[in-house]
Amino acid sequence: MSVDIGLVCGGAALAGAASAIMYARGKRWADAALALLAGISLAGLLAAPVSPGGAAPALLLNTGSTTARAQDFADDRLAAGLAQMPSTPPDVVVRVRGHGLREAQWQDMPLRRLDWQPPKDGLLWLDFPRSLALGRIFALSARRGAPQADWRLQLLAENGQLLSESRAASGAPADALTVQWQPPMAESMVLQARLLDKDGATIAQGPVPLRVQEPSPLQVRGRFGAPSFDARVLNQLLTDSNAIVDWQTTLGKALTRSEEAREPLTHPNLLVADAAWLERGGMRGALAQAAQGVPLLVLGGNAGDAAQWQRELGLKLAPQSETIAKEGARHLALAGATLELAPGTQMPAASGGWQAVARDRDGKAWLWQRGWQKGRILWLGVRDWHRYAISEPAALGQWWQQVMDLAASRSEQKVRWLETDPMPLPGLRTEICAQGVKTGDAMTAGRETLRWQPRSERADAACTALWPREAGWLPLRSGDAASAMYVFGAQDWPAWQAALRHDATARYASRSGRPVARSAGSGAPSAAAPLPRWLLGILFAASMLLLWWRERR
Amino acid sequence: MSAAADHLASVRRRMLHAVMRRRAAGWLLPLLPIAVLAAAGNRGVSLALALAAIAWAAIDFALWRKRIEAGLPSWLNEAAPELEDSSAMLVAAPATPLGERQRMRLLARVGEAASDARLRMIAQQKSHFNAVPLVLAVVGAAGTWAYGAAMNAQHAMPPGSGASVPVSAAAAGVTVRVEPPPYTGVKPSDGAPRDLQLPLHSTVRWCAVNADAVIELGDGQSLQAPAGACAEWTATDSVTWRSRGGSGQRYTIRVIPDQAPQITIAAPNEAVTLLKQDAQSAQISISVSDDYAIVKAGLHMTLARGSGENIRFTDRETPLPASADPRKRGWNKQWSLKELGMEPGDELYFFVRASDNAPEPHIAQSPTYTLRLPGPPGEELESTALPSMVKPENLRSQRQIIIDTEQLATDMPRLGMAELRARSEAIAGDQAKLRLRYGQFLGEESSLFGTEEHGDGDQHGGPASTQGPGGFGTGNIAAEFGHTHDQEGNATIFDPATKEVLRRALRAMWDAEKQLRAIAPKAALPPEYKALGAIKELQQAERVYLHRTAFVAPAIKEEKRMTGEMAGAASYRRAQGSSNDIVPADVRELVLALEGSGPLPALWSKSARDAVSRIADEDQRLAAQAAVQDVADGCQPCRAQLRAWLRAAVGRPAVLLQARPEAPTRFSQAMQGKGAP
Repeated sequence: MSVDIGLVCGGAALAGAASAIMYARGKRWADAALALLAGISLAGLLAAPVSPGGAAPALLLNTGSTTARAQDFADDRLAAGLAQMPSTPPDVVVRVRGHGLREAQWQDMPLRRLDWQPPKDGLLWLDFPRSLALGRIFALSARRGAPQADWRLQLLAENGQLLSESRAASGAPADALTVQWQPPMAESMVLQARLLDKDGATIAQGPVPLRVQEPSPLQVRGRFGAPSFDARVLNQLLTDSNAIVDWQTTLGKALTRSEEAREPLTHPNLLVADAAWLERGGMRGALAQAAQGVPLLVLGGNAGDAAQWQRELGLKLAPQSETIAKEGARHLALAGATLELAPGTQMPAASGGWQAVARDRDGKAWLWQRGWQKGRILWLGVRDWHRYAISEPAALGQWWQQVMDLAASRSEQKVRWLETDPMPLPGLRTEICAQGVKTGDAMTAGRETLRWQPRSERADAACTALWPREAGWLPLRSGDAASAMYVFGAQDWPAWQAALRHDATARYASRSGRPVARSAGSGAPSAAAPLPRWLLGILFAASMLLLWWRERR
Repeated sequence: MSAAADHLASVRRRMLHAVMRRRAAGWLLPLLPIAVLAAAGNRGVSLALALAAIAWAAIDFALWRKRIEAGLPSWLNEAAPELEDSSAMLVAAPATPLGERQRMRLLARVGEAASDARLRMIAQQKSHFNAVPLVLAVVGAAGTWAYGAAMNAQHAMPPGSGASVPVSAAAAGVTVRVEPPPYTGVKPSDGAPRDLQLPLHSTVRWCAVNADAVIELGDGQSLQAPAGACAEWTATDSVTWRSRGGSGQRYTIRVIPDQAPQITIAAPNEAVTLLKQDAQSAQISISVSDDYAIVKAGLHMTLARGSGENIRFTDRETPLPASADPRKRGWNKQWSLKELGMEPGDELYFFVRASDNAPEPHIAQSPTYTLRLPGPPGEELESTALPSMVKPENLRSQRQIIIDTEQLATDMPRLGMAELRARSEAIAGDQAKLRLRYGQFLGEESSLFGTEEHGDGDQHGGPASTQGPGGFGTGNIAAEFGHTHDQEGNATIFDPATKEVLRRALRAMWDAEKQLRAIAPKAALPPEYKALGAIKELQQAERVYLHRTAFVAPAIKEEKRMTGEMAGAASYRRAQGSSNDIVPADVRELVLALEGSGPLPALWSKSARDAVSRIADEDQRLAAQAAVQDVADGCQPCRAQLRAWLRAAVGRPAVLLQARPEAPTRFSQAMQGKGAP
């Protein structure tokens, strides 16, 4: 089609030019100019873009009223447009002004071509977990549409007390900031987050709901062939974390010091053993456990028999000389402190089934792993962390949490609620998903009883949809498992809502088979067409009439 | 003639009365603002102003009398045409018969012409209202009142504190009277409820004026003030208060603690100052300041003379001269060495000690400064002449250690990490000292941590440490290499059974100390009790004392040495340690209850107040106390705020090691059965 129009345009221009040349040969300059003008205006008229509304029928969705007064009127128009849209014929082009609709609204709409100029300003994306286990660190990230200098992100408690603050340096504009905070108690709370500009004026402020839950305790077995401060500190860390610990230090053939677990280990998350214990005969039992799926974490600080490790596990160990040991210290930056941990006397080389799974800030590996039947074996290549037990307890705890996240097997939870909707709003369809529930089972949200349904895009979970009625915590229950979902107010976080609508509209536009509408760059030439079509038509008609009149004269 | 004079006198009198009536308002009005001022309590100034007003009225009266005397005839001429411009004839008898006749005519008419109404009219024309005295009186009274009010506000505050913010709205029927402790010299203040800043231990009285009042303090106290009586409270901590049933407005009472005196030594500016060989004087510049008054401040000087074993010390104390301002004392003096009693080779140590006028005086002491006058060359000081302090052995008993540890274990959830560590280490230090003391009986000599006792002596250092001054081996070699175990006090002999008990006590002490060093006071308690039991047993054991003749070390079994043989060591099996909880159980329960809108646990306000009292920042603590009150009043939205304050009161949370949770799904179950190595 576009080729045909090009040809016609070219033909019109050519005809105009040819006529002009003929007139010019007769030295009728005025007529030549008129002919040329007529040709050009006709070509322009044909080439000018056909506005969608002109060619195909269009539906306007105005979602971006800037003034409050226009809002009510626009809301009515928008509601009318939304009501009209499902019944529109497939060739209708939907013209969207503003940021568009929410994902839930788009999903209810049939797929239509979209004419949308995405506005770039006033967008804000927030990212934070809605629920968190006690003892972990809460992180809230805010991202703005464009990098800016001198802005701040603050996390505030309900009483306005500042919990954490992060700021973009004046010299280095940043588009994202993150604040971190560790909640001290298991409870549900609605914190506040605030974005401030360089003068301290509030750019945006709104609620940040967070549910802190009691963690399920770790179940750890510890087996050691030599007493060490490192093992003692690890034991203390685990004990303080309320873990169920079965600890045994074998000092000699008939000499064992053990700590009895306060309750039986039903589902051990980890077996921690030092290299000395494994070398002295513990290997077989430990490997058998690993084969059954219990990860084995080897504290490699006191490894001695390299041949045995090569033979049994295919692990190549290279002895570290004193000088290398000094240079080979691993530097781990955590919680505002840097832990400098000495490498073990023998360090693994990644080969065979072994690969490094964690590296320090210089890129040096400190944790290696290989699979072992149903389980895994991990090798911790650093030692002497006990030196930080008193001076940097927070950093040490966070480092061990990293190790646990990498090493320990997941603790089983009957039902795991998933955070699917970033911002549930009253009156807008939202979805609740959970793992570990059966489709068809009942669940309650507030006073409503719903049923879990399968979803093709979430094969490992079941979901259900609901329309929250009011803002605030909405209690959820499925069997014994309880949770709560926070429903935001309609006026909360307008910039974040805009960003969510922006993203949803972009996704809809990509689904509708058209590139994300006309971006500012590609839209420019058509928008900057030299003359409107009606003017070109008049110009063409006028020049032709003038030419005819001159011929008749 | 006399009739004329009588007539004239009568006219004059009436004229004067008319003028007085006209002027009376002008004389009396200035007294009105003065009376108001007197009613406001400024009696002295009002009296002075009133006297000034009366004096002005008297002067004005006298002036008018004079004016009437001089001007009455001409005024009458102006006012009464029937007197035919001849009123002057009434004053002075005319010399001519014609004049006499005219005078007679006048006398006949004067009674009518100088009627009261006419005289009033004349007074009205001549005398105008003078507003200047009234304005002066108003300005004077207002100025005095404003000055008095400003002074009162200042007196309510201790010197140096910022201006307090008077709150205009008065709580219904309550007045507040503040009496700072007499020693502060701050004047008592009285007035409507307002925010106050008071010195510590001030007495605050709330007096109920009309009806009974109940004063609720932010820390949970509730004071009853029956109508016409007062409730009294001593300010020990900053607090908010309100009157129950009043406007509900809270007022803040901020307590300013009495600071210890500040001592500044400007000269000498180094801790050890080496004077020049030929110095004749030394500058000592001291200033001491306190927030209220300094009672005692003295310069303590110790002169050390001599060298080696032969050192003599002379102590002297000189009070710092008082200055006009009791809050400051300064002494900037160029001391001649003669005054100080210094001779070449001497050292002078001095420090300043000052105490303030608080009932329990705060005593401040400066660091010790040293002035050293070098001796004649060649006569080198062999050693520094610092006074060697022989401390008496001040050991805490095992029972005290147990009490300390138990207290620490109880306080643990409320303590910050740094304080917890400091306290635990302090108890560990005490335990170490006690262990070393008992260890001496078994010939133990050193420990890993107990260096404060005699760790230095046991480091038989390398060659460098034996070098005396000059790099030669002239140091105290005997002290470096020798041991002084053969002390009579230590040389006791115990029977083997007692020794065994002693060993057991020491082992238990070791264990206790180890746990304390690892900041685990709960775990330290069992070994501490074990040690106490062993010590009790020891006290009951007999003790034999003998002079030691020679030391015979027990023979080392060479065949066993360094073999790693662990016969005698025992396995043990103990229960897993318990975790330390940083959040007290009652606070946890309260926070969970505050999440909903249901009833709160019993005695919740006490635990909440206990918790928020640990907030370090004063403003935050006051706000938290207010939140407790609000929740007690039944405010639902305030519950979230109180939770936030309770959260703030909890110490820094620790990382809790945990695994990521996972729910069983078909995928995870399929992943479990993954391939072999």
